[in-house]
Amino acid sequence: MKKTKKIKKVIEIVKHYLGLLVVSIFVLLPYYWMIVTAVKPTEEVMISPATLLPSRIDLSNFGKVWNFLPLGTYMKNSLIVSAVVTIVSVVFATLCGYSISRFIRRRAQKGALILMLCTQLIPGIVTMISLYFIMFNLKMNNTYQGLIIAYVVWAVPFCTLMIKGYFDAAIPKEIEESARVDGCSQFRTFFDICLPISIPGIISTAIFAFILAWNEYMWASILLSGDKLKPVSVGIYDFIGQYGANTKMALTMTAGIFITLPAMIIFGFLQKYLISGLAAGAVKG
Amino acid sequence: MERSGKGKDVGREGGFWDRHTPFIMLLPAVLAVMIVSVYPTLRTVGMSFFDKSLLSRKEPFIGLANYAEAFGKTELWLYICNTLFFAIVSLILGVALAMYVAVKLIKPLPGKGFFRAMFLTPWVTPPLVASFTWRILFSENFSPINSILLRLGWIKTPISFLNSTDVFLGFLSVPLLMLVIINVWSIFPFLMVMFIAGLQTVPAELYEAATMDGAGKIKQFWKITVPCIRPVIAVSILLELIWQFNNFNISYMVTSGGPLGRTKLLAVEVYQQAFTNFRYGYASAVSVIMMLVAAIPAVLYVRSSVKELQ
Repeated sequence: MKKTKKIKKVIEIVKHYLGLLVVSIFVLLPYYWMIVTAVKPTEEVMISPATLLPSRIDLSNFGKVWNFLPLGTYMKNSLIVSAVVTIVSVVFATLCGYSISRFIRRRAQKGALILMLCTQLIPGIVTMISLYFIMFNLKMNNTYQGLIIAYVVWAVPFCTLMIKGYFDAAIPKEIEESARVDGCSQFRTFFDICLPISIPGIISTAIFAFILAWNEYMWASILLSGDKLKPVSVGIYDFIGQYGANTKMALTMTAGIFITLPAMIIFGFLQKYLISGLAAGAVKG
Repeated sequence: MERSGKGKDVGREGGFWDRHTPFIMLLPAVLAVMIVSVYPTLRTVGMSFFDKSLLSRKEPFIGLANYAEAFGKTELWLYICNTLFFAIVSLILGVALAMYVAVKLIKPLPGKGFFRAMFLTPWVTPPLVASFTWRILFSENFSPINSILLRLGWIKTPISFLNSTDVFLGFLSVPLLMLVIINVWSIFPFLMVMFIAGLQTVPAELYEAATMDGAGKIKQFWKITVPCIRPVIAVSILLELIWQFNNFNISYMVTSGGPLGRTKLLAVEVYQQAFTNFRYGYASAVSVIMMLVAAIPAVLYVRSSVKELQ
């Protein structure tokens, strides 16, 4: 009796890890191939059918890629845009989300909430068609501002809802009420009392905004025509287009590793916050 | 807040700025969204009634002619079918995979944190990088998948995953199915995080009681897990459905809509009409059609979220 129970338990654990292993293979397959292609010696990259492992590891691509495309400029552009977008969206979303969370009984706050819910659902491309003309008339095509303004506005609705959910679920109102009774102004209550204990929620909002800006392609490809301001996504897409998909495969993969790393490193440090930040908001719906 | 002062700073508490602080806090976000999101959207709707393109100098009002042209084309129906299939099927598969993984990753077994972090990586991988890598993974000549299948002797010639034009069920093709697989890979992490967040709130006693009563694993899942996290499931499914309906990156970056429009999604069609063919009016009309098709889940989402409020 006891023995069969033990066997059952072992089978269960084996099944558990076997399932995770299969999913891991699916998840890691692209990364595996990215790395293998990047470190294969040049003559092996174009062998068909492909060899699954490199015969030796050749790291020369990691140096060469910087000469073939201005990856440094692209990364700098992406970093500047993503950093500004992150800061501005977090400020906007935190202010708005706090107000909605604490004063939802009022009409303006209700309206703001519905606005955020609705705009989240507008297909980006619908906005982009006329936004392009508006930006063009304001001479904002080919500028950082044009990118930043659009990304902030696309990030703000989801960020607002996320941080609102966090304030709702994780920060008890009572703390603030006692501060108010002590004569703290509304803004001080928010800034001195509520903000310092909301760091996990704010960080997860920031991650979301950063990833959105770092990964965006469509709007950047419409708005920018010069090489100087291109973010990595557009720069590398154009690089692939210029040489065809296959001839510079190894270099493209190497560039891919370089542009995936920054987001992954930031994410690696902060992912704990992301889950708890999203969790609080998500559960409230 | 109407509370009048027991505090020391009575004057400021009742002051204009203090009373209106909550409203002022809304303003930056609300104004930005109104100006840069709502206003352009309305303008696009307006533009769909005009013959605006790079070639037309005059931009005359043409009523519903753009819409008539769009619905008159058989391709548009193909793109609508493609988009619906792509969004719905990748959502179903994504939810299934995310749920399967989430249920495993709330168990207190070793490796939990490691697997969670690893499964989240597709989310932070730029779509461009992911698309390009998958394009090679599904290519005819350089794909390791083909290479393995050839070595095993299961196939004689390499499979062309992304170029086959054979159609079944009227619109479905192998390349479209491949795009769905790629999309599942990229959307399941978000769903997984949401589900894990939800599952953490289900009290463990419920499962213990059910086990005592002799309920099996599958029964427990449907009778306890699903009802408990129903709100999270509903919100993430509706959001993800709308996002996937608007998906642009994968179709554009992996296949550019080809071969022969077999994998073209509505967002790609709008993008190409507007910024490759420069037919802004027509593109606007298609984008409005797109918005209307997405309106059904969108209205459901807003209604369920507002209901939660009351």
